[in-house]
Amino acid sequence: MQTLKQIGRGVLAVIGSLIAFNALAAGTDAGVSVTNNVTLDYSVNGGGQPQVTTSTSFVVDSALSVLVSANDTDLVNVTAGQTFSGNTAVPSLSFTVTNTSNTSTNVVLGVIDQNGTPVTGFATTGTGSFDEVNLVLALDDGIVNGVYDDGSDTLLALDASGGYFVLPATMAEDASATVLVVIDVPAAATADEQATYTLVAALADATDTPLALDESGNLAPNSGAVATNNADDTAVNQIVFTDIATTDAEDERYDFFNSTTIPNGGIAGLDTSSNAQHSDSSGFIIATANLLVAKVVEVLFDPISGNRYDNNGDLVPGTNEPKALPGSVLMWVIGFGNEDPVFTAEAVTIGDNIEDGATVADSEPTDEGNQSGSTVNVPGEVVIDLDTGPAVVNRTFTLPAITDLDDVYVENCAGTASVQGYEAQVVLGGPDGNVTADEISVLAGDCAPSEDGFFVYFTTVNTAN
Amino acid sequence: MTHFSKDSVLCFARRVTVVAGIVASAVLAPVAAAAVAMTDSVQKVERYVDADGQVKRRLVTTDQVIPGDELRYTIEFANDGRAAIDARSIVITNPLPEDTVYIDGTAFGSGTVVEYSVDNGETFAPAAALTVERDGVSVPASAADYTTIRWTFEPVLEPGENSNVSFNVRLR
Repeated sequence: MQTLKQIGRGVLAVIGSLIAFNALAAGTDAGVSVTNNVTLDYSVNGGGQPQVTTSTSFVVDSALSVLVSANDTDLVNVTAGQTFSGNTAVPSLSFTVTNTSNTSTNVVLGVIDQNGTPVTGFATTGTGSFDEVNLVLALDDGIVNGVYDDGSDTLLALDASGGYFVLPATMAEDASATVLVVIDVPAAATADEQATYTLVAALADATDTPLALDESGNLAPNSGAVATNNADDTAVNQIVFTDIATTDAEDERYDFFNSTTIPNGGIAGLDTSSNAQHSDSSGFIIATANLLVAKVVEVLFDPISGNRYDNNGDLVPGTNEPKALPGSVLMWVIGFGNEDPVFTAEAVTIGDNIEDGATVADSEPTDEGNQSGSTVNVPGEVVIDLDTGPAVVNRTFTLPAITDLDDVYVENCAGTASVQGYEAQVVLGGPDGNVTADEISVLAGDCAPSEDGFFVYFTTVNTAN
Repeated sequence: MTHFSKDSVLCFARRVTVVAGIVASAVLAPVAAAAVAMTDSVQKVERYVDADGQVKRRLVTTDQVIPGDELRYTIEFANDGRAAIDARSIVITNPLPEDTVYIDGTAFGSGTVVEYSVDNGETFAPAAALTVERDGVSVPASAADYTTIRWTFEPVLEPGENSNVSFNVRLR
């Protein structure tokens, strides 16, 4: 019986087992002879006759197929300048490569740079793309955790041509391996840029040479071979490519026969069935939230001009413009917002430095709250340009009902309002009961794209010198 | 397991002829010369798209057989003797080949009663009457439970007449 190793492709030595084995039921093993035995009994004139028997057999052929499946469900976050050498827990693309044949086979791997083409099924799409500095493949064979651990995970070697990577051992039937695509990210990459890649696995012989053709008229892409549909032979284990096609537009075919560099080798058009290879895609994105914060101050009241706003929170018509005189009451508003279209800024904490309020000349001359002894009116809303540069990012914040000018009023990014005691945040005790150098700290929570929040507090310009 | 030369395998069938009274032992009453010839062949059921774009099925040679393929076994039998074979005396018994699973409803034979076994041929019954035990509960048997098929040919098979039975399986 002729087996795979006798068809001129060398001995499929099992060098070692890969890291995972799944019960995938690739079917009846190649080379098995299936025999059907039949018996027939009969009689003539009531007399039993000798039993008749017969049988027929055929040999199960090699159904060779490989399957690639991305384990990532969305773009993988990386940071500009990230490198993998000498590092652990390096964010990587994770794929499962499985031998779905009914026999063992070698597998080689190619990578196609998709230049930022969106990955079908991923919720996130970046803006623009970046090119990696270096790209390697690794076998996640230490702790299978989907990230690259230098010194633990095994970097895959390139073949002699440098056009593709090779898995280090023959894959047994149903065996699978977790393959990581690992890159060095250029330092110049900017927020939300993406780099997407297609991992292509191909069937290979024992010398890691990609299979060019089967015996059922199928060819590997660009193999240059002549399709051969061998004559029927039920006694021979013949090779048939049975890999499935991919359906996502970016999952292209790879030229294992002419490509000389990684990553490239992509051939336009979807990966097709029975072409000795299979592919799937994933990608990286530069993760950076764009959290803006700006602080504004407004004089609400001075002892000479009185209030700037009426008790409805509207500007008082005319010339009522209070100045920052001693005894005046100031409103400080700190607005913040996430201007990134993709990433959430998590666990945002806003710190507001309060400087020593000993003198009027201080940048933030304060007594807490309203020390004027007069009724001070506050506006209903405040508009703040969150961008401190030339761009204008106006956000309008509606103030809550202010009942105590000694408190800090907070609205976090989720829109949840809270009131914090000013004195709970700031230690008093400076000259004349003024604040000492301290900081108001506000926990703003997670800020999703386009979400914003603010906090507001009030002070009085020190009347003492 | 029977192995054949390449030539005999290529024709997918083997013909066996037994002449009653010659091969039969002494305990069998010699009768008028009778002989039954039987052949067993296998073909692959292939799906294809015709010129109208319709998906159809056809029988082809077992060029390449891989897991998941559907196969049809056909057993032909003929009365090559000079005496009629008794009605309901021809009983063909076919244990399902290893690594295959029977495809429900495919066993057929003109003029035959088809029965199945779920205990390797110990007992036979019509499909609707077969049960198996699962988790201690008796439930109707499914095609995957069948181990053996048996056809009983009801008519008299006169000299020179022939007939056939068939069934389909899927290679695991």
